[in-house]
Amino acid sequence: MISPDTIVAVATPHGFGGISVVRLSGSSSKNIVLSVSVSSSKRALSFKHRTITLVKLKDQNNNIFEDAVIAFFKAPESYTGEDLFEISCHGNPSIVNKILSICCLNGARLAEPGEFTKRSFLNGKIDLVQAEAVASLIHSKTEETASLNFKMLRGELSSVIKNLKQDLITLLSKIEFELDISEEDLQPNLQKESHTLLKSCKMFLQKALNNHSAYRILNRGASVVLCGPPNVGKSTLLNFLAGSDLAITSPQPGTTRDAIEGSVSLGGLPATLIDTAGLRSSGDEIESEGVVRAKERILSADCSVHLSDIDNISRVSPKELGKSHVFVVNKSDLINNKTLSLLKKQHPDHCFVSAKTGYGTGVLLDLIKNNILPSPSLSSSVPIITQRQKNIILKIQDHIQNTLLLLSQKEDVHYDLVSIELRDALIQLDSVLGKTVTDDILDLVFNSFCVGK
Amino acid sequence: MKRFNNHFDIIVAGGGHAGVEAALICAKLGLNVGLVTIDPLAIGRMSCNPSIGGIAKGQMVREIDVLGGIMARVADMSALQYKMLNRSKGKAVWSPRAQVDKRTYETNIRKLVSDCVRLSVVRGEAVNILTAGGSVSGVLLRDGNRLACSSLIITCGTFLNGLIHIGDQKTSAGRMGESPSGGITESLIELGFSVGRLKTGTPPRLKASSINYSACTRSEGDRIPTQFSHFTSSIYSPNVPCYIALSNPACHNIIKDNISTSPMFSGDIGGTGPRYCPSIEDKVFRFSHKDGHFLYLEPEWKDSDQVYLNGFSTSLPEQIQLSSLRQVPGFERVEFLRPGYAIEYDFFPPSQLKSTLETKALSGLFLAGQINGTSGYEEAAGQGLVAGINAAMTTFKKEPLSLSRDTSYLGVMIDDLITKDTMEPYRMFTSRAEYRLLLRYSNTDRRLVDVSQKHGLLSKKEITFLKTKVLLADEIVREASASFSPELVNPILSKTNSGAIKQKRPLREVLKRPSVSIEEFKSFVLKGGAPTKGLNSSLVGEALAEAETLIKYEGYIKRQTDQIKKVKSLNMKRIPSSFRYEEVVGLSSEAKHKLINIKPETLGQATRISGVTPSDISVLSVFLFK
Repeated sequence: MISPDTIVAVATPHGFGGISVVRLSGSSSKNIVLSVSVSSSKRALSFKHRTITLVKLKDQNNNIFEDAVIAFFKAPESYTGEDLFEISCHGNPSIVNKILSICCLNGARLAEPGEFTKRSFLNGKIDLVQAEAVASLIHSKTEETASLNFKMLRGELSSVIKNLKQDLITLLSKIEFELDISEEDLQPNLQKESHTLLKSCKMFLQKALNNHSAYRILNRGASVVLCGPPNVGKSTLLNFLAGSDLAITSPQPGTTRDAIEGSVSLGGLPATLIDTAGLRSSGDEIESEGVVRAKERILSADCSVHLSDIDNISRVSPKELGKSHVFVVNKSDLINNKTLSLLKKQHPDHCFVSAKTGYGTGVLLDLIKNNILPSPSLSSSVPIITQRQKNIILKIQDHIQNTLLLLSQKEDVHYDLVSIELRDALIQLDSVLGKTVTDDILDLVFNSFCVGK
Repeated sequence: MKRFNNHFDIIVAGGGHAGVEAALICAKLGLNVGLVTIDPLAIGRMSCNPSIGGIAKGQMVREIDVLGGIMARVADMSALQYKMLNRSKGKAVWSPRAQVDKRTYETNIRKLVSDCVRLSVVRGEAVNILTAGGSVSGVLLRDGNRLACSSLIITCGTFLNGLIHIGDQKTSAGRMGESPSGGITESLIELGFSVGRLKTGTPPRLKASSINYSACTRSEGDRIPTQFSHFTSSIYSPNVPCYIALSNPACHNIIKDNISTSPMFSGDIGGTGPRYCPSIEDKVFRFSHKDGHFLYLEPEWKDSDQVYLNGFSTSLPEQIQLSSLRQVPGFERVEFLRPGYAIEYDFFPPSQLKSTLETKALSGLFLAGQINGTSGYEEAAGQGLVAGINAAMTTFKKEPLSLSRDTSYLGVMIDDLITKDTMEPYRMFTSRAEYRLLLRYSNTDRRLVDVSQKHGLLSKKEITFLKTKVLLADEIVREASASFSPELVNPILSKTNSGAIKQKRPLREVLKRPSVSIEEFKSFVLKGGAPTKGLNSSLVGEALAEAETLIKYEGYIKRQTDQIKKVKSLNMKRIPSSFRYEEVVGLSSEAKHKLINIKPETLGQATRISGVTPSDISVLSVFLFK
């Protein structure tokens, strides 16, 4: 038997709630639903495409245990492309479990994570980029990324990729014509024309890649590290920004040893603030380890905030700076306004705050956000959403770069090699959409799903 | 049961380029061969253009040479000029071509055939395939003679129900009208084969003395010729020039005004023509923005008064051909020896064949050449050779010759023929080969010498000779790995305006620079007069060029070799013949239909079937191997 078995899973979050939805997909799903349900009216049960039916659910002993509403989507006009049922029941885990087990007793099996979407892909309903968008949409943390992922799902990235592919195919066909037919000089501008086209492809991909890092931060939230010498008030600043007493503060230098985290919203962007051990050399073994870890944190964070004391405004060596950084001077409340304006003029790249009074912290948060997410915002262009997509786009860029090198040859152009680079780029483009994928890549993509989707 | 009049091991029906290769290789391998032809004087005739080779075709001629065929040797004996095409576009696509004296060529072929002891020429027309117990037993001739054989190779070209079109005139080219009982076409249909129809065209032959050559551009061949055959000991080219004329709007206008008289446009011809070798009518309409098309004047033989007008293939009425051409500078007073014409003929879609070119349905029956929907001498000769070798291997009960896509153009062609739809006459192109970079004219010996040796297609001496050349190229690459001092290298580099080296460097690093040629460093790599062991200067030069390609293209060659390894794993994944594609959910209906029809042996072959998309393959592999 080749046709796939019928799968079942709960599609809503586990736990108590108003309602829960159980999904059932596969060729025998209709038989299974018929054998677990009893008509609520006098008419015999029949399920019509895209309609809902009120039924009573029965167990293996024919005992009615639940009223449920069942929606039916007939193959191929369903999410998976197969016969698909959605059983809405009361939101109680024991009822949900009962429905799952009764379906399994009648021939279904529990679905793997992402298996519904995988079937949708295998049945040609969506391409791989769209499948990835489904997973990302579920996990989106901000409104901005949710709307982006929805765009992906509608196929916007897919159509951009298809356009790029069409451009490359057209170019490749001209090059093949040159290699196979053109004895007379029918394409005198081929070299220049190819060069121009590929350059614009390259720029386009670069833009998409730039968007990738911004997108990633938007989707999972930013990490911001507070660092600097001991006793400049990092923990106090964390407590103020996070709005609670998360970190123990004291006038004693070296109080913070483990990193302490707090959440904060940077104008809609969720961020994790991380307080670290003060950077100094210490004889204390535990404190030294804290300093080592703090330095690692700085390098991996999206932004590092370097604090110093108003009495001792220090410079940080470039080696110790993270991906993006902000210089902050704390304890501004200790000096008068006149001195403060003077200091501000002397240190134009520093942000002056007071963790105690909250002075300047609004400006600081804006500064951090702008450092992490360069404007203009993403929503106007197409980002790449997954690491898989990014890796492939990087490979495509390599091929295009190689082609440009070949085309800038002053002597004879090796069009045979140009053709190979373009063909390899096309193969990679296909793999973005999942037109050519191996099983292991498929598993990798669909394993990031939750069960029931 | 009627008695047979004569017995052969192998019968070849048709004496064109496919038939000759098939017959000669079978005889060479020790079998008794009957070559059935209507006209023994037309054996090996070049019925269309007076040249051998060309882009992708020149590479195939070389492959034929290593696999024991004769086309390369005879081309070298009959060449008027040689030209390496694509010289400026990358080493992998360099393609040798020769203008050939048609008369010398066919005379040389006829001599090879008549000198061949185990080969008998039978004058006659094969009309019926005789079978016994599900395989071929012989062939019936029009005159009633019955010839017995264990294998039959049909290579009858455009002869099957051939119909010539010149304007609205139609002339039967075969002997279709003679007998209502029909011939090979009907016999094959009766055996259950499906048939299709194709067309091809040929340009007019001009009278040389009527052409004003001073208005045309002279086009000479290479000063240093590239021989086709590895075994041609000394190569000579008289370098007879061709000429180029340029058509003009006045000429195009006459064609446009009379387009309705061309049967290709009026719908009189049902067959599908080739896209790549378009008629002048096609060109004028499809490339209407172009004011002129090149017309090549090619001599048909030495000092001939007959000139082949390459680029002006047409089926327009003779008067229109003439009046449009007379608008072209140089052709003001041109006269025809023969007008251009189009020909329609039957072919048998080659998806009915195995990769050995034996038919799937009837064992012992092989088809080769235009009957398989191909066009071109080289394509035909290559198939004839492979069909001949495999007919012989079947007779000896030995392993058949199976050529892969990564070792030869012939392998690409046969795999294409048996897996892809033939919508138009199949002509070889370099772009059909996905591993084009590996299929160079200069490494044919390396690619095929082992398989040739395995099947006994060349003499021991010839095999040794080919291996010598392969080894020489390897030795040169090794020599180039040695480091040389700046004092030795820089004087040569400065001649080519290439930057100097500062310290001792391996020569291969220097040779990787695009502007540096190995020719300049000949004395570095061919030490002590070189191990040229019986290779002439032309072949030594080729070994040098091959070594240079191996060095310069190293990274790309490795990339293609890696790809081959990946695909090999797909080719290892066998699909059971009982596999039921009908039950696979998610396959497109076109893919299902094709897969059921062709029944690919491996997942690799399935990927190449036209209409089967990569996503079909994903679906298929999920269902097959999960």
